[in-house]
Amino acid sequence: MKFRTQRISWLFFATCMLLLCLQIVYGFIMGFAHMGYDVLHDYIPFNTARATHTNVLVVWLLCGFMGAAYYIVPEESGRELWSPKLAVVQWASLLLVAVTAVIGFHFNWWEGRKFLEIPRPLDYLVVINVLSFVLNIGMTTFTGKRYTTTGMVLLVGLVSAALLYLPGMIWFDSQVMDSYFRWWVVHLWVEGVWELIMGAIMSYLLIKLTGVDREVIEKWLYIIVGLTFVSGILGTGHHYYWIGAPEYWLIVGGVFSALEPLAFLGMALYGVTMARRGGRKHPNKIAMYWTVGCGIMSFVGAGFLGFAHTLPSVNIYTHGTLVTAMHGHLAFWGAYAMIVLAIISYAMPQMTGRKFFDTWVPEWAFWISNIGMLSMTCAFAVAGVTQVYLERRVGMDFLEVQAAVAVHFTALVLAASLFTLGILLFIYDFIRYGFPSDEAVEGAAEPEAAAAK
Amino acid sequence: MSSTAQTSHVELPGGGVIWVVLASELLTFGLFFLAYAAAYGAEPEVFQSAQANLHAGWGTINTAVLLTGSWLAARAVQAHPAGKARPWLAAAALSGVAFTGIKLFEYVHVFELGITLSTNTFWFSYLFLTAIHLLHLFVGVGVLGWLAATYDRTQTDDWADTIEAAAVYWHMVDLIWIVLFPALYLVHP
Repeated sequence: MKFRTQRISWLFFATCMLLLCLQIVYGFIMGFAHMGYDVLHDYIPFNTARATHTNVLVVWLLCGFMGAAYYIVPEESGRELWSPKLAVVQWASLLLVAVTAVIGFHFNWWEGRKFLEIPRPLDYLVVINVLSFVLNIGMTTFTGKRYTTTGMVLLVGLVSAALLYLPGMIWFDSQVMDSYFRWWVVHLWVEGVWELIMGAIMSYLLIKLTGVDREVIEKWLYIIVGLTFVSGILGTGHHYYWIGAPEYWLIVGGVFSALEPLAFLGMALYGVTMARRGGRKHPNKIAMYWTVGCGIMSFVGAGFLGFAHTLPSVNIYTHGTLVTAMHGHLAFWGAYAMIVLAIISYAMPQMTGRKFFDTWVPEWAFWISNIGMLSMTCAFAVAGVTQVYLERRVGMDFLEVQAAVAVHFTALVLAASLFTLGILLFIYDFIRYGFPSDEAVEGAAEPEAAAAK
Repeated sequence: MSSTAQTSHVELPGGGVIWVVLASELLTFGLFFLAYAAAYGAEPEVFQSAQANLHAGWGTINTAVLLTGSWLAARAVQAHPAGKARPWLAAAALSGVAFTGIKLFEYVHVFELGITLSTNTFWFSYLFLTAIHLLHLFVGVGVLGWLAATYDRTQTDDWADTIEAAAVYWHMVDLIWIVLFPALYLVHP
């Protein structure tokens, strides 16, 4: 690493590892509940487990993005972080809010409102927290030595993500209006500005790992940004089909969301072509695995599986079923979890100065977790299609259908065990790297950085 | 053009990136034109009676304005090697302003009839597609206006790609309107 303060990202990455474990535990609780072993029901009912599982996911991904930003922005703007102290305070307060929220869920302290369940007082703390993060990153960028496209796209993505949290805090008496604006947060995050963050992190990694000219890589980043906005903004309409919003959203949401895979196809092509073109073989092969893998898996999970049930004529049957869980798992894994794991894989040797990347552990972590997640997706797909058929076509009762698909959750739990093994290997590797070291500053000068001098 | 030569083997006017933008835009509008045709086929009476409220004359004038604008943008590309593109760029941007004025006048007429996006499928198509087209036109006016304002007659090589790309984009705005205009105003199968 080039700057001493880049090491702050380690705190965020370590938090990611902890929260990912927590998320997996709650996933298992729900998997067993679906199999009929809802033994923790009195302490952790399904709704609590579900809220914890999804909210912890969002927090650890945001934590990963913040860590990535604290690592990337100093380097892209050519200066130390504006205020390292503020960054540490921001990390600690974020962790405090997250822990409070998770404990709160277990005592029924929550709002309902799927994916944005944290209670209103905590929302205000999140806003303050994110403002201090944006201030720190923004000041670093604007007082830096240079502006780069990668740095600016990352900043625009993070600031927009912060602003888009606000529509979720407006109070409405109408359920329809509440849902309508709740999707502005959820959809415009994951199918909008998060794609900018993902594109920018990918672009940074590809510049570092492939040796292809920054100019070429950043030009294709513009295309991805363009495709994201063309499709993603009005693609929000695919959440409005059956919630009481005007009927025209069927056509608007249908057409635009059908185009959303283009942005992810762009990411996949971006990763693969740049990797092939790269003349330089960076020794950190495993970071390249995660980067290119992220491009491909995001296209499969977010692009292809999203398209599979986005058209209104399909969605009228699949809406709110396990088909959504199938898409959701591979989409979040492929697009956002993998990009965070990619930047962690790249940054850890840089921050600690230890080069463990050519051992078997990270490579097996990559393959086992990916095969595990693909198997989970298949299990969800079989359960989801069966549910759609029995419940929506044959007209069987919801709970009878849940009993009928319980068997597929055995397969899900087995696949999830494989996935967990992969993640545990990744975390073992993370721990093995240890803490960031001052000796690593400038020690591992990148060829790009060296050429710039 | 050196960076373009690296990314694509064919030298496209304005560079490769603008053509990717063009392709994704035309794909989006293309899907909407197909949906429009299907919706028209499903309820021809609704569409025909709604269409009777539009005045083809205003649409025709706007078509002429945009075609003139495209010609002006093409002239800007031709005049650029001699460093004389500025007036053509400014005039092309102004054609977009004129189009917007006429379009807003038409919208006022439509809104006076009490029409909204939810009135029926025709009015949704008219309002939504023309509004999306207008947004694209605003982008074009902004780019052409910015180029005219910051034009540097000495930097002809560096600017060639940018001016070509702006002209390609401006032709696209025109092209979409040329399909939109007959579909909304003229076709009565």
